[in-house]
Amino acid sequence: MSNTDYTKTKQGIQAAFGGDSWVTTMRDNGLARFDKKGFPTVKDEEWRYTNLKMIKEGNFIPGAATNNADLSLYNQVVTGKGVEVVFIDGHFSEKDSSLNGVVSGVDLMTLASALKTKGNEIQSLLEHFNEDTENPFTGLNDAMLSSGTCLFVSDKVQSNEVINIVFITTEKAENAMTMPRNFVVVGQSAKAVICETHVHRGTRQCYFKNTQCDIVIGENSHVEYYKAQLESFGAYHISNTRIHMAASSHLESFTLDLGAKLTRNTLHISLNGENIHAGLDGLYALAEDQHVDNHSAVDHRFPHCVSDQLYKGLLDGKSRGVFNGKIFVRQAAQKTDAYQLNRNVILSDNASVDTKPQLEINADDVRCTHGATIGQMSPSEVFYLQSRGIDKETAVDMLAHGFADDALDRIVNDGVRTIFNAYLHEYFFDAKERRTV
Amino acid sequence: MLEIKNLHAKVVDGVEILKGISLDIKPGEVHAIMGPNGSGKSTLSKVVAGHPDYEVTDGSVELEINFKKVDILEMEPEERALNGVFMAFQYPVEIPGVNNAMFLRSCFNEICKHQGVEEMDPFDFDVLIREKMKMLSIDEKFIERAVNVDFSGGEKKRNEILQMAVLNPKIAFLDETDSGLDIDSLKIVAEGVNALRNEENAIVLITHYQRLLDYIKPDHVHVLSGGKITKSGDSELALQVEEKGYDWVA
Repeated sequence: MSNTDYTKTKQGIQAAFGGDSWVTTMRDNGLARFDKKGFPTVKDEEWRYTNLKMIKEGNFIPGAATNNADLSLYNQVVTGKGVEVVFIDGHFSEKDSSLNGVVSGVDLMTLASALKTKGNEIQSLLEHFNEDTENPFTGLNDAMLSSGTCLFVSDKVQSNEVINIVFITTEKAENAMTMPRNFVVVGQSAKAVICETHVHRGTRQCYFKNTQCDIVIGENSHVEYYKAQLESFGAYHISNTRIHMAASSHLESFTLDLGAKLTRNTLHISLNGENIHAGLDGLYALAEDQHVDNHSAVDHRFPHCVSDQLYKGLLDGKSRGVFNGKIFVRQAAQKTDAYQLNRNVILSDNASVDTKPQLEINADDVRCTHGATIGQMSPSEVFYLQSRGIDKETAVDMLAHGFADDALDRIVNDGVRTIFNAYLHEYFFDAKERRTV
Repeated sequence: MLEIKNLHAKVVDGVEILKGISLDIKPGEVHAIMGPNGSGKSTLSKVVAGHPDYEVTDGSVELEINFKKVDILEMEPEERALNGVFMAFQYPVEIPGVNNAMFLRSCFNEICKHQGVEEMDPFDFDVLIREKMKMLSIDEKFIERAVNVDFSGGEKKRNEILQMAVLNPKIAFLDETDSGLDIDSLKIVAEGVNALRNEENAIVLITHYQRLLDYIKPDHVHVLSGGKITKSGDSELALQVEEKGYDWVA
């Protein structure tokens, strides 16, 4: 039984990257929190359906920098057009990136730079999440703080173009562990569109990704946050996102999970003001023995906010989906509108889903709905298509496409919707060798 | 063309609804089936179409295919459709994400394939579907919409007749197509159905009210009650039922 020595790895990073004392302290505290809690087991309510044994017992080493990596497999993701921040095996690749297309008032830089020049801004961001440090993987990510991006959008700046942050793991990075960290601060009355992609192509190699994204959205601002998980089918992907929203701000968030052997996404959104609108949507399409666990929590702390969540899943093979959506409505949060829906379609005999909505409502004048469905494709819908001459298999496929399209329609940005649809076809619908149906 | 012989059917794991229905439908004919709620009218059309909620316990449904009588109860629903059986649903199903035009073209081409006829390309099909939509006063915007999604009740019913117009079935069961329609929509639907009548096909109108039959004149009228046909006649029968009620027939 081997275990990765996270303390040694942290020390290596500390030695290689250094940093001001606040950075060193952050790493030390992070490791301490991780050590104290350790890897969650299935006895931990938050991790009941997701067994992390394989990660705990894995033997991972930090991803090494590669010069002149062959990115020919990644043309779809690294296009050379627009704004792209590219990381290869955990290391920023200047030659493959293009940070220049940003509009004036947008500051986009690597974490390494920001740790040196934006220390105050980052510490200020972190203060927004002081109450949200329970997750041991956040501690572990803190401990390894070294690589990632920082995005600062100034007040009133409208950044409409998609800022692509791409994390590529190459075939040279078997058993690598990478822990990217992204910080986003959007000022007041501003706009930003972010697309984070995690991808590996070509093998089914094992590696461990522990990624964290912290976003602070200022008053009256608008943020679109998209994430595509296209990891190797043998990899582990743990992702944590914390979002702090100020009054009258607007968030549209969409998570697409198609890859990895085991995925756990934890998304926390805190609504800290009135008239906030938060849309959280997601789609997972799984086959073989994949496992995707989506845990989310929306915290309504003030009146008149709206949260709207739709997560849809297509499950084939022996795949497993887990959904736990928490909605907290504090006593002061009157006139809250909170909607949550998790819909799952099981396409094979051995796929399964565990879904649990969790509502804690302490205000008395609210509107909260939640629903979860798990089932095969609706027989009456299948019959309707059959009655028009379409055979059962094709009918189920057509309906599965429609089911997924309905989720993708939630993506506001046309370009992102198109590419996410392409990924969905590549990884799921057209990958006949992975499918039982 | 279609001969239903002593058909018994029940809800799967439930009660018997059809208790021995016999019906002989010849090419060129329009039959109307009327009856009180719960009589089994909708069940009849669903059983003929092959709905999975129902199980046939006795009897046969023979369709004439190339001069041979074939019991279609052995066939999968799609096979029945490919052989010319069509049902306009009472409650058409919404299919999010499946584009109306693309869906119809797929169905149309499946039938072409089955008949050994060349499939139609999207361009030609577009012309065909617009022609039919115009005939049924269906707004062109519905071409791009998902099947029945956000359609009003009347629009859904008209979309069913559009499908019928495009797929050109041999025998069509129209299951309470008139329910929920205002008089203008009713007239349009009736005109559309009448335009599709010819000497080679047949239509079965399942209806609760006589009103539709003012516009689509049936050759035969049957009253269905308690899972059986209790009376048959011509279009006069429909008027009598309207005047005297279903109890009179019983």
